Amino acid sequence: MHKRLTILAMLFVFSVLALVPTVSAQSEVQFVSFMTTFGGSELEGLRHSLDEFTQQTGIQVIIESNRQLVPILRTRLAGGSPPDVALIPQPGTLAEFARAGYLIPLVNADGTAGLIDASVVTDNYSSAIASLGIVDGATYGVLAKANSKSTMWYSPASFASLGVEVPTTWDELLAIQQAYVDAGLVPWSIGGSDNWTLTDWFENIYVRENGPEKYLQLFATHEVSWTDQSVIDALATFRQIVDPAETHLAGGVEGTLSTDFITAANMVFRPDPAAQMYYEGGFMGGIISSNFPDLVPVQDFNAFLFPAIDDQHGAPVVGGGDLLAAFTNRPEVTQLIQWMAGTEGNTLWASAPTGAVVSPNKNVDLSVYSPLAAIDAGQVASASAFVFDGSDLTPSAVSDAFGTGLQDFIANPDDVQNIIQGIEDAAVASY
Amino acid sequence: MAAIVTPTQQVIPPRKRRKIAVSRWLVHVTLFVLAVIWLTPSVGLLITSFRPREAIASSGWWTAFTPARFTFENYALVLNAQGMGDSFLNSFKITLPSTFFPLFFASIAAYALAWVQFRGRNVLQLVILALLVIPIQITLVPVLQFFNQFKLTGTYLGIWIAHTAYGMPFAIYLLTNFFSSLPREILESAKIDGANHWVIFSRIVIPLSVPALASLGIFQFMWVWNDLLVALIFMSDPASQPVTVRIQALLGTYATEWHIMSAAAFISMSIPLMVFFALQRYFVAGLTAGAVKT
Repeated sequence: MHKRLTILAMLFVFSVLALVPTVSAQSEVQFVSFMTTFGGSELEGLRHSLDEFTQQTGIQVIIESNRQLVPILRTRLAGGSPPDVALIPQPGTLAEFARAGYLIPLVNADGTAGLIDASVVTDNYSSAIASLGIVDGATYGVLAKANSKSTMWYSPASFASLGVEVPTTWDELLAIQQAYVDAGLVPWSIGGSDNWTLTDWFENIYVRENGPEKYLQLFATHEVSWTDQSVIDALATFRQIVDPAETHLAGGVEGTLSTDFITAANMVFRPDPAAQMYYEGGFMGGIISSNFPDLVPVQDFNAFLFPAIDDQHGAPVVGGGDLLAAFTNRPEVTQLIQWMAGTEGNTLWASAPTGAVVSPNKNVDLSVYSPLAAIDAGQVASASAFVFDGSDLTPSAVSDAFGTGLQDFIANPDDVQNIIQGIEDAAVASY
Repeated sequence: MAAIVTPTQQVIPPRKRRKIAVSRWLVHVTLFVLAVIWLTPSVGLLITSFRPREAIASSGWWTAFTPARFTFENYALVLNAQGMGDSFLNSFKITLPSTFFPLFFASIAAYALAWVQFRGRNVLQLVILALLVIPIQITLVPVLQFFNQFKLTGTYLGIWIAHTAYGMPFAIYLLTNFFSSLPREILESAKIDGANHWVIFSRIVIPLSVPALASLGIFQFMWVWNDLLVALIFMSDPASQPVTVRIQALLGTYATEWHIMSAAAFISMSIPLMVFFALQRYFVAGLTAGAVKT
């Protein structure tokens, strides 16, 4: 009995102690709360820029990091306690929040200043990048970081021993694929259990065959149906890579569909590789180099731009990025957004010792990037066109159907009609 | 089990004895196989947590011993991460009261539901049972709105209230069932001796219910300690966030840092394990105490 009473008493004392700091923490320091999906080294990179902001302005930035940003943000918005600003990973979500009235316009539809002057946007971003943050004429977000999803990773040593060079056209890529098969090697590793790796493949093929305008009509507005001939043609092109799976893909159909995107990359760059080439975004560079610290970027692993298929459309970059948006209207928030959009803030982030990102800001000099980030940055900067990842533009039901549909396609490449009908059904119900 | 292994007084024919031996053997093999299946993922995680990042990326954990390459670096990385010590303290600040309050209030409520006659008792019991099936996810938005009204969002008091409320229905349900299974005669004789409800509750019911309270305490402690969702929603200030939130902030957008994840999982797991082994003593003692009573 006595023992229990002491435990009880201790718990109460502890509880009271725990309350004290929350009461005394009231102070006059200005702060902005900032929600993002970045964590680990990515967060260190962001901090590299924000610490300087705090140094110059005295405004603290409280970063809340979580990887399920959109559902948590939705809950917090509905509950009435959103952060001051957030990095939103999809333009579709940004538009939804803007139309629901949650977001403070950065620049009003008539061009007058919202939180910031219109010149802050036009001075720092190309119109293609700026347009990603515009909803119904008003600017609600600025693209804070960008990445290319059109990077094909390979081992230069493997290309050298095969006697081939980096391909710039689809036919050259197919020739390399055939050369690997003839040499008894497996050309590709695809992490198909994460089905967004498959949708990224398809998006790159589709935009190269049909151009950015039709790409947006398929993914963003659904003016082009999923049963359109262009979709069937793009799948036929993709089939040249994935069929026959036994010789083209590491692990065949089953291996591909049970491998996640990281393992798939590891399979190409580990000491005893199971495959020779890997396609995914520019962000894979950082993952590969931290998984295999002995490999020297560019020299031991490198990437080339997803080759052009149709000369008419060239090789547009399919990319992703995070849009900075504001939920509260305070002078500190304005200062933070000006910093995040400006040249100094972007340059610091892009040149951070760890966790540097590719900045879409046009004033950031390419020379600030590390050799690894320069691969990604070069593609974004020199892109003939930049389109956002299609599965981030479609409603989530469609991107789910799209992803599982492509997994079916890997297993049954003859079943195209059923697969595209399934995606179309989801699309008809969602738009 | 005890009944099977102590058949000393009775005379058992050899054939039957052999049958018992065979069934015992079967039970042991089944238990062993289940234990192996159950433990394999954890063992894999443990081995992974001691492997260098490059090795994790190159091969599976079952190949870790040929050649053996192990490191403590992953653990050092997690433990030395900025704010890790504070977040451990925060976890205790959140978990201890959030374990104690539901146990305290639920045992009082359960006593009333089990042994006090009052109007509407059955209806009340039904309502509590109904609360058990409501997923906490759908309560997050209204609770958050409520907390904002009273400035409880981001405070320890707020998260204690949240965890206590979320834990109460199950705690009341479990304790009510346990309390009503106590022998009526003991309580009645206490009543005859002049004991009121408070005396019966604190001198008889609680001491007899140590096993139930201990197991409930273990469960509640583990739920609150491992909780990520409630903390993410209600504790937005990084300075007061618990270990679970701090750990997920160590991972990048694509959660590719498997070496950090595996080491962090074991570090976070160590506290609930300690609690389990500490309370297990009460758990077993309580069980045998009940069995000997005539």
